[in-house]
Order: sequence, then C-alpha cells, then structure tokens
Amino acid sequence: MKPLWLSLHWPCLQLDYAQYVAGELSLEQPACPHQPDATTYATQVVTPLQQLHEPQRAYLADPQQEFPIDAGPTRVKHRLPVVLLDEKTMQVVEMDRLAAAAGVHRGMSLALCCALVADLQVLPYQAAHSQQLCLQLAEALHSVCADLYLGPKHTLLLRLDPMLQLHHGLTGCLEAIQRVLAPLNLRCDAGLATTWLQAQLAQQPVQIQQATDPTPAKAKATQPTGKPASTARNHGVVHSLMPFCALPQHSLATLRIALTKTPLAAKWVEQLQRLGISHLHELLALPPAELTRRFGQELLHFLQQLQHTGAAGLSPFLPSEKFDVQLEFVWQPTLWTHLIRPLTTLLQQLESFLRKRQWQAHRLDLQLQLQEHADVTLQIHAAAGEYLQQAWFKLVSQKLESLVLPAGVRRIRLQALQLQARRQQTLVLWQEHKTASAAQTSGQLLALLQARLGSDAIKQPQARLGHHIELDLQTQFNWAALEWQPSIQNQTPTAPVDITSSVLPARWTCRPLFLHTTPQPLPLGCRKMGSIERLYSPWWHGHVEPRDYFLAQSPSWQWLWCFKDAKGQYFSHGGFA
Amino acid sequence: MDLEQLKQQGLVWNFDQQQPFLRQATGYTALDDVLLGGWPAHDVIEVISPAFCGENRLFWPWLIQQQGLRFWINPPSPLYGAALPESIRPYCLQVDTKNAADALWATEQCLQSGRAAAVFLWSHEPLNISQTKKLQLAASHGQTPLMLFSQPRPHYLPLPLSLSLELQPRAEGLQIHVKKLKGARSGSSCFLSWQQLYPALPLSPVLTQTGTWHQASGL
Repeated sequence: MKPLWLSLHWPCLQLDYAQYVAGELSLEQPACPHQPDATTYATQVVTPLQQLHEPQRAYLADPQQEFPIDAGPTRVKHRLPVVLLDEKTMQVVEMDRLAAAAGVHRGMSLALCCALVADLQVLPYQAAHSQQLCLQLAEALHSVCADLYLGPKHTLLLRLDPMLQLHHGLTGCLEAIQRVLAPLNLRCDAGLATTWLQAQLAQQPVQIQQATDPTPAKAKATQPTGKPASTARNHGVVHSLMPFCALPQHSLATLRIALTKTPLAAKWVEQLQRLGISHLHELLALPPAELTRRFGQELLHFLQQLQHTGAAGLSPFLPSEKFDVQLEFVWQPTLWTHLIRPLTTLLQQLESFLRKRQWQAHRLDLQLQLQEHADVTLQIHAAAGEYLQQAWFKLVSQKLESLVLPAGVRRIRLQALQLQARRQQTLVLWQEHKTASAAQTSGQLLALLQARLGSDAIKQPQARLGHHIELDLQTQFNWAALEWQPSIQNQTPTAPVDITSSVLPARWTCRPLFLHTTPQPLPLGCRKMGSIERLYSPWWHGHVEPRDYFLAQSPSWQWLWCFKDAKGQYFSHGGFA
Repeated sequence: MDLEQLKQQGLVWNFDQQQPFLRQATGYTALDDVLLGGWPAHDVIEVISPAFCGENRLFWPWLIQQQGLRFWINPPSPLYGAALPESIRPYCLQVDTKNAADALWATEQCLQSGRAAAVFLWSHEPLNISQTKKLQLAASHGQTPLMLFSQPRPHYLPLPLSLSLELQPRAEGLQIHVKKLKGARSGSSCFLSWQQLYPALPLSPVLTQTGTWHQASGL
C-alpha cells in the first residue's frame, strides 16, 4: 500500500476559533446597521493603528456589551471586521469572515486594509496562541489517526495509510476526521498525497460546515474560486477531499503548482522562471541529474524531499499527560455569563481528554487573567472525582456566580489536577432504597455544596480518643477522609441502636449534641444535675487545666453542659438539643 | 352540572378513596399515637421550640436507623462529634452558610439529591409560603424529610406543612403540642418525660446536706 498523507492547515485559526467559542453568527448573517451608542462610537473613532498600540481600547466593541441578551428582538447583533496583524511586518496574518468578504487577504498591508474596510478592528497576532490551538486540534484528531505530525506553519500532517483498515477505507477515515472538525467550523486547507511535502503543496481551501438539517453532517466543498461545488453531497469532507483522493493514482506532474508557492528559495525560483519553468510539474519533467549539475544540491534535496514518503523533518505529536489549556479572548467579557460558552468548550476538551485515558479529575484550577488587574484563580473540587463536562460545569458555574469581575477577562486557563484512574461505580439491581434513583452521588452533592458555599462551609464532626473538646470543634470537612470511606456511596443499613438502654451508656449518650465555640457564662438560677465528671485535656495540646463538667438545667428548662474551671468560674459549654 | 361532571373534573373527593399518609415510627409510643403512626415521610416538619430542650432528641431513635447522609444546616452551635454514635458519625455533616438564601439553596440541593437521610435546618427568618412549597417539592423528589427548627414567635404565619409541632419544656419533661397535622385535627398534645428522652443522663438534681437544691455558686 502506498503511503498516504493528509495535510491540514487552518489559515485563520485564532479568529475562527474565537468565533466558534463565542458562538457568533457566520458571515452569511448580514451585519445590520444600527444606531451607534457611546461604546460603539468610541470604537469607531479609534484608528486601527491606535488600536494596535492600545489593545485594551480595541476590545470596546464587544457585541455582547453593545447588545445585551435582553435587548429585545429589534436589536440585531453587529460587530466589526477583525484582522490580526504581525507587529514586525505590519501585514495581515489572519482575517475573519467579515474582513475576508470585504477583500482583505493574508499579507495585505494595514493601509490597504483600512482603505478597504472603514471600521476595522486590528489586533496583534500571537504565534504561540496559534501553536497552542494547533496542538488542541492535534489532540482531537489523535483519536482518529495516531500517526500525527506537526508540520511547519501550524500544519498538521496525518499519515492515513496505517489507519485505513481501522476506518474501513479512505472514505471512513475522512468521515471520522469530519466528525471531529465539522463542529468547529474553521476555514481549512487540505491536501492529500503520497508524501507529506506533496500533501502540503497540494493544499486547497476546504470549507467544512456543521450539519444544519437532520441528514448526516452536511458540508460544502468550496473551490479555490469561492463557488460551492455543485456535486457536493451530504458527506462534505469526503467529497470535498475526493479530488485529492485521485492524487495517488496520478503523478504530481498533473498538478499545476506555482514554484512561488513552494519552499524553494527565491533565487532558485527566479532562475527557473528565466528558463521558462514556473510550475512544479515542469520542473519534475526535467532529468534530476541535469538539474543538479546546473542548480546544485539544494534543488536536488528539495526534489528528494518532495518524493520522500517518510516523516523525515517532522516532529511527531504525542498526547500530553497533563491537561492545561488556555483560551484567548478577542473581545473581553466582563460578566460571568459571557464565560459560559468558552468554559463549555474547555470543559468539553477536558471530558474528551479524560475519556480517552479512562481518568477522572478531582480538582480544577480556573485562572482568569484580567485586563490591568491581578489574576483570579478559582479552585473547584470534586470529592469523588468527575470526568463529565456537565458535572464540572455545574461546579464551575456555582463558583462563578458569586464572582464579581473587576475588569474584562483577557484569557482563561484551565488546569486539571489530581488525576486518577476512573472508578467504576457498582450498580445494584432491584435496589429498593431511594438512592437507586438518585440523580447524583454523595460526592457530587458535597462538591456542589462546597463549590457555592466555600471549602470551609461543610464540616464533619469528629471525636478523637481522649477528651479533646476544643480540638473536636476545629475539624473541617476532609475530602481525603471521604475518599477512604467507600461505603459512603452505598452505605449499608446501620444496626438499630437502642437509645433507651441505660445499661453501660456509651460515651455519646452523655455528651451534648451542640458545643459552643467558646464557653459562655452560665445563666443565673441553673440547677446542677447528676454527678461531676473531671476531664483533662492532653498536656501536649496546651490545655492542661482540668475541668469539672456537670449537667445543669436552666430556669427555662434547657439542658446545658457546664464546667467549673480551676479558678472556680462556671461556664456553659454546650446544650442537649 | 351534575355530580358525575364534578367528579370528572376532580372537584369531588370520595372518603373511601383517601390515600393514607406514609408514616415512620418516632420511637416514642405516646408521640406515635398523637401523630397517627409517626413522622410523615418525605415532607417538611416544623418544630417551634426554644434551644437545647430536646428538640433534636425527638428524631434520634428514627434518625439512627436511616441510611444516607445527615445534614445539619446552620445549627445554633457546632455539632459535637462525641455526641454522635460511631455508626452514623461519618455521615453527619454540618453546613454553615453566610446568608439565608444560601441556606435555602443548600437545603434544596440536599433534599432533592436523594442522598440524604434527613436534613435539619435552622431558619432565623420565617419562611414564606413559596419557599416552603419549594422545599416540600424537593423533599418529595428526593424522598427525604426536612426538619425545620424555629424559635417561638409572637406572630405565627401558618405554612402549608404536613406537620407543625410546638415544644414547651417543663420541669419534668417536654410538652409537645401539635399545631398542625395533615390528615387529622390539630390541637392534640402529648408529654415525654426527660427520662424518656435522655435515659442515660443523670437527671436527678444534686441535693445538699440541708436538703435544698444546690445551685452553682458564684452566680
């Protein structure tokens, strides 16, 4: 079987991904004119160059701020075209669909962009962010094709031929890739060839859209001219890539790829063009020996690399053992409700990460990086461990509800900590107890309470050996203790305790249910009942003074647990409720 | 409109079709007699009582035999672990909230989770009817009873509860007055002696040599 390489490249990854996360309308939704308010006007008077140097002002045109959710049906969401500019070359690197529709393309200068689009938002391009998004896509595609490599310029190269048997052929393999990529709605270039370099050179724009009808995923293949392919059927990716599928049967010479689009040095391209060779197939038609004699080893090396079927020169992608993802906002949300969609995206990635490894996470750290303010880090615990996106979102939203953001969020970072192998819960058939139909486990309930009320809101009473009365009150809820009590999930019925038995009463029967945090003065007129019990606190805890405890009844017939200290003073330390 | 039409619209109830209310024995015979069999299951029980007069003790025989977590939400003082039997101590949790809204939210979550055996809530502010109804729905959904404790108030607002008790401590025991009981007439009462509630405690007063009550000196 011949090697088969699929090259995937996303030319506008940052902006497309930001649009996917924000869940905005696509380009087909026309931007309706609206009455500019103060915020919008402030954005429009800022020139693109000023925005680049004052990025915080560029975020003023947050569409959700301009038009709140409850603004009513008459107010239509509107936003301005956005481009990402390389700060060194001052050329456009990425443009969103609105800017692309206005004629902006990659490599265009800022002045030309401003001439084409009057209201243009300009943001700095961050190569590291693109690299991180590319790694996230590689993580998602790794389940389809494990033979995955990171190519130059944020390109992913998938060697498909070892995976064809798993996916029942090329069509099944491409369908699996579509299922991963279609929901993201990213603009994509794809190429298929027998070597990775050929596949990269053969890249053509492929638009993959999510299904909008009940039929299987629908996508449109867009030709380089921008017109949708008339022969595209339901399985868009398959049929949009079908022209490339024919490539291995034919030679690369049939492709008319301009030499300027190849990684050849400009001087070689110029010399070849002087000889009348401007396309790759014309170059390949010449004998290699003659080309080497005339142009040297560099051109020969390029030709050899073009025909090399291995993965030389590529770095293989290995899935990370840690979950640490970040999301950069183009528009800075200032309300926690605006974070719901981005967080859902990140938590879906977390679920996918944990599912593949059969893991569960016990703690999440959510870091909110704010504009001109200190970062806010939230810790979310799940006692029994969680891996589902919905369960984590419930906990995260409880934390965020009580959070007031002092400024817009620039970036969010989500880390999963305390990862463990997932425990399979044992289900009991014909269980009559109500917990058989319970929607959540005990651990989920406690994690939910702690997420909203705080980590110190839940306390678990404990009784130590000896009389550590004050120390018994200093106990907090201990997640580790819960973890080591497997029976808390499915507690077995306790044996009935006869509390009316007065023979050899247990210690708990003569202790008050509630204990005051600090002893309180004994009210007047209390009656001392029963005998005195002298209790010594352990000397190593510092409470060395003995106390004579006794039962007392107040004038209002309340039952109090009192003591007399070494100085002869009387205090009430608890009550029998 | 004839009788059949009224029946079809559910406006007429037949006496023989009344469903018996599910009860769970309290562990005290006198109280079971008053409550027509015991605590109403999966509902809200209001207990109006001063603090530290055995208001929790009423539920103790029933509580020990239940399964699941026990929640004490905003109790008047912290729970003392030494007072809890070892068999249920790991499943007893105290929840402290900063405000009443959080307390009601936590109560609702505990009730409807289906993982709690019982929830004890101390409310410093009287609940309104909608809050009570919401808690009732949560208790019914999770099949968990809620014990709502409150202090005696001069102006009592009747709530749509299945059971409302008012406790009045006396020298010899606890007078339990049934303010409201679903499915029965209210106004009945019973008396439980301190010995019945606290059989293991030394409840006899200390007598001095002169035969008078010994009071704590220095007070």
